Amino acid sequence: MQDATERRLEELEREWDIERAIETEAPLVILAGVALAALAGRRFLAVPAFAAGMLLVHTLHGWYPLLPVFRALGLRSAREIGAEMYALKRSRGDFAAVAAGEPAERAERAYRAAAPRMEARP
Amino acid sequence: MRLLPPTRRRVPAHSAPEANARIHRQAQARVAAALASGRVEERLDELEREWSTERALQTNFALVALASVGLAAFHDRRWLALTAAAAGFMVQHALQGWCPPLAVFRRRGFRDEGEIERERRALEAAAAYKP
Repeated sequence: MQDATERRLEELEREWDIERAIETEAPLVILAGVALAALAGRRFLAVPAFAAGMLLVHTLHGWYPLLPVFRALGLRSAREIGAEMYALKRSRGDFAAVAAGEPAERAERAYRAAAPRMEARP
Repeated sequence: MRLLPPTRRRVPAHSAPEANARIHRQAQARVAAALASGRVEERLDELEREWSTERALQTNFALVALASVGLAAFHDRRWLALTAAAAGFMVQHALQGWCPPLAVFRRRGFRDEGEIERERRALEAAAAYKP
């Protein structure tokens, strides 16, 4: 049971989230636009300019034109992946021993318990 | 499948150990301080607003790309070399976890989503205890 949970936590740490997908896709579109502008004419500079503008909209407001595509591919936000990770950790009892004590002790135990995986605890 | 580092470990894996250690030390101290002062809700709200390394790097990249494309359009086409270099490093960060501005952001205390969430979950768990 323990091993199955650890394995699933490891998978969740590996899972590509939406930010990682955007950080791959946006620069590739921009690179393609730069190549087009260099080879086929300056008017193609509109492609990298538009892509960079959309990325800025994403980081400042959250919206992004390809979001529906990434969602349809099953990509989740870091927040959603984290919710699954911590639901697993809670049901395993990782936070059971956090309870009593001085704030400093409780903080130390809770922070150690909140490490993503057992062996990753510093 | 194991060629690329895990999404949630790639930023700490490419940061200075001192920067990682300081980030953990300060996070735990802030959990203790929030518990001691009873300002748990306020701290959780701050954590919701905190900018992650990903948000900072994406914004930084978008601004560099916009500026260099503008300079290429109106000043000198050779500025496109900067656009291309920045885009290359953004892809490298996505796949491998490192890019030149990362060390600067890490030293200034920017954390990835996993590190921010760890502090939030630790604070929630520790605050759930009512003596």
